[in-house]
Amino acid sequence: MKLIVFTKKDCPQCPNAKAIAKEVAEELGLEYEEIDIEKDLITALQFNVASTPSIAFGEEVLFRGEVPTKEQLKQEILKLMK
Amino acid sequence: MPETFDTEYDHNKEFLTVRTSRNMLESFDRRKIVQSLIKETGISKEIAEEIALEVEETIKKLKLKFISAPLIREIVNVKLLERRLEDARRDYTRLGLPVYDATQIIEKGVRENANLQHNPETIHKLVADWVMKEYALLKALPLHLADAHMRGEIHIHDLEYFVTRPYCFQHDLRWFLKNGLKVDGTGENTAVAGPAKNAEVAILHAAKALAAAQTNFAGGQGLDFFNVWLAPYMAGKTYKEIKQLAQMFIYELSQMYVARGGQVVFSDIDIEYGVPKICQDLPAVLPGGVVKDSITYGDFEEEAIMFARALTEVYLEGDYVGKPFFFPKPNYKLRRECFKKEGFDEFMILVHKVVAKYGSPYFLNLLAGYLPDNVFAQCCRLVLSPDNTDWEDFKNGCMRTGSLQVVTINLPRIAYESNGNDEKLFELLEERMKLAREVIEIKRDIILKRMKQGSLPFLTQDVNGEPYYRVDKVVRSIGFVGLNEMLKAHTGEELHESKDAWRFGLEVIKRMMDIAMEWSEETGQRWVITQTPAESASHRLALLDLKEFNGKAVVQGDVKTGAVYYTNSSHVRVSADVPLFERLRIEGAFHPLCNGGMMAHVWIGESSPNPELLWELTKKIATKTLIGYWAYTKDMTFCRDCKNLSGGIKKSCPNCGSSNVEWYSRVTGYYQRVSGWNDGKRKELFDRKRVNLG
Amino acid sequence: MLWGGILDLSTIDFPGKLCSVIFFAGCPFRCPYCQNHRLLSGGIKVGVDEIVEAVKRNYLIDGVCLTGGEPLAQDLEELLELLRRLKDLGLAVKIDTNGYYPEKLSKVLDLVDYVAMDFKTTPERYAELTGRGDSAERVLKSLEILANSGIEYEVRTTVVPTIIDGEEIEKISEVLSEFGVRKYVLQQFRNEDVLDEKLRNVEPYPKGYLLELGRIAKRNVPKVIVRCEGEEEV
Repeated sequence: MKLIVFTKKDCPQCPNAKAIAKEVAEELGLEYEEIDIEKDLITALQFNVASTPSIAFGEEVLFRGEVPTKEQLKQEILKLMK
Repeated sequence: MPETFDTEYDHNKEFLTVRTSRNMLESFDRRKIVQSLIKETGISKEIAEEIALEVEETIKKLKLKFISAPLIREIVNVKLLERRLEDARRDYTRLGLPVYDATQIIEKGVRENANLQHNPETIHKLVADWVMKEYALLKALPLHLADAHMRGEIHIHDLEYFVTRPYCFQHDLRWFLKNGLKVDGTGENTAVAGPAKNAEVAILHAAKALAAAQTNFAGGQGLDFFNVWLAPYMAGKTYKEIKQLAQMFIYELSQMYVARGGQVVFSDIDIEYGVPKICQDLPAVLPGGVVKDSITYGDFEEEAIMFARALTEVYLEGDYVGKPFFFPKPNYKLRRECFKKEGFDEFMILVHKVVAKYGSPYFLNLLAGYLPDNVFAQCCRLVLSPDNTDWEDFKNGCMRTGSLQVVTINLPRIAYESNGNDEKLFELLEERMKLAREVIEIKRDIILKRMKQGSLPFLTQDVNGEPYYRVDKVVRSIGFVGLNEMLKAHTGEELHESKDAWRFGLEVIKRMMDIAMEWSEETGQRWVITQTPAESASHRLALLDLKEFNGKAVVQGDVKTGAVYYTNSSHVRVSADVPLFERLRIEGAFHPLCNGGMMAHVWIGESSPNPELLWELTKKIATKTLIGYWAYTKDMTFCRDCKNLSGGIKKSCPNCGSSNVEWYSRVTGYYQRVSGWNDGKRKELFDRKRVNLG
Repeated sequence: MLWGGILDLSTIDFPGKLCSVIFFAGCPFRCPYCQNHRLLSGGIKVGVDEIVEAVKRNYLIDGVCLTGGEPLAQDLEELLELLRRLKDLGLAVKIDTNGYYPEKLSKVLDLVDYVAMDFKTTPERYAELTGRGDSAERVLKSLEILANSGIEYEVRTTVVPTIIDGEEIEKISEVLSEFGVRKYVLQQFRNEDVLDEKLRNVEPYPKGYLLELGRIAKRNVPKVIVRCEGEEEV
């Protein structure tokens, strides 16, 4: 399952979210992907995401329009991996 | 005394007696035919005289006992057609309805609009509607657009008002509070009121402003920030007094049975928990219309909350016999900032007690992340995002907006015509949208003309040098119906059946939005996509397609009885066995694309849901889905005998066993008696999959 | 496990929690007023995975209510596995039980957040009502386990006219009081589609009478609730 960060141009919190997600993906050995919601709005909508940054794991949106701490993100992912 | 005149004598005489449309008896004079033909159709004098002579001979030959002007006109029309003068016939013909249909309307009424009771006012309205609808199709719209509507490629809403009124409007109460009220727009025909000096009058002005506006509009009339703008008038009052005022307002709007030929005003109010940040620093309009820079709305937080609570309690109590108030529809805005305010949870539980009992509240979700701080909701589902100039108006105390006209695209039809070819489908989609655009552009010219002619006096009132109604600031709404059936016909799967079908559906609506945005840039006007309030359209279009594309048409309902319908806009089929979380996820994805309005329904079955947990549910919908606007719909059975209201659609009253019951449910965006629904909608009611919340 | 169906969202089946309700098929009792009698036997054989799958993506819920039939009639190992998986998803679990399986009950309690246990009649009449000779003894055992567990629970009686009256309620509440039961629920009987056809014509008691019965029970149990078109504490 992939860890996906939804971003868009000029989104102030996005770099922060991306950095955290990348780190977590590496630690847990997950595939990592970024989706620009302006370029691929429909994929974002199918995740029920319309605000950035948002983070999804597999099909599940974990955080919407907010940046979690590394620990929060990890915890949510581990819950789903069980 | 007709017998005196229609006897055998007359028709054999040289001079026949004619019953004219001016209610007079006159002698037949063929010169009158000549004159009217030339004046009304512009044909030559020679042909006109030729026709008149022929008509006279025909009438004499027929030895009629009864001659009237309309009859002569019918004969003239035949003569015009015999000469292939079709255009002249169009100009010369009469509008109106067959005697049989008039009798039906007088004796039975019609069922197309769920709000219409059968009473003398609505009978007049229906007869007038008939003529105005015909006029729109015959005279106002060019043939190819009228035909596109009649064929069912598009559906032009509120045709009866097409040549007289724009669709819907959201008002700014501050303007009326500051300037007083001229209900006729000019003050020439009615009394003129100055700015309200006390709360009772302010409440009455608010109600009357909507009723007055309704005479100039076809659709819904809304008041945004209702409890905020009125908060200064509540200062110093006890809660009991405030509740009395709330009750007064709600009763006014649910009892003034006057608008549009005997209906209540199609009204709604937006209720805020306290004074939102965006209003806090605005100078308040105070009793007497006084504005002081030093006193802002932020100073009336407590009053705004008390008034919001009072309104909600009135909704919870229902009317004298315990029925819910259907109008004004209450919209509750969910803002992030509210969650930090003390008492918000408690307030929302109260709101959800109303949900559990009647289902009346609507929720506007500002937490989904794509709607701006202020949106306007009214009518069935119109949700508008303001632009910069709107914010100027907002600061200046007269923010106003609305929709000029809605035209709906029949999506399934496009699928039947494109035979599985994607390219063709998108081509036809754009083509149909262009038809809708043409219709709306004609509407714009008509409304401008009416304003100039002075027949929309409420709209031409002066606001700081501009008319109250600004045609180019309101939106042009393009709606759609039956995405689900389009997908089934085109991809073989319904909206909820696969991720691919869902995706294709999103592509269709996104394309519509993109086109609308291109047009907005091109014209400087606001073109938007809206989830149509498809009360009659979903039934009419399904019926037409069933006839035209039999074998290919995918419709819901009962084909045998003709109680068929298309699924509204981009909703999941109402009877689909899909869990609520899935339904909301699928439907929510469309909401950010429908920049002109959206609505989701959560149908509650026969139940007494728990209000605290309903509030939890509301929070989840607000934070986890993209649903921008929704309501819980509770079906209700009201007993006419013992006045007991119970949940669910029941054949007899669970309290007293009487079968003299009335059913209530939401049609498209508002509650009404089920007996007023059309066949398609009635069938849909029984097909709805309900979430068993209790 | 024998699957009987799912209600994807409920606001009334788990106090304080939005939940999904999972119905299991199979029950040792044959109470004449059973509402879910289509679940007394039969059902579809499913694995734990399939059940988890049915609730996993439901972002609207905070809990799951296991009911039936009788959920504790299912295989214990599978039940424990299911409960662990639901916990892992962060979901609270409520079990509706008839109390016939005290041993299983004691083994699952650690993984459960709320139990609703039926106490259908006085112990003397249990066998006659349920069709099981050892039912009273086992139900009392279950009650004892619950009372000593520290877990949140309620005991409930469906008030069926012709079967339950004021005297019964008084006796039941006395038994409950001996065990220290703190929350007792009286549920209104509903005659639609019940097991015994004769009961389909029996009209439920009106709310007023249920409240009256509630006041009788209240002498012995601190918190009494009447469930009838919503809930009302007596």
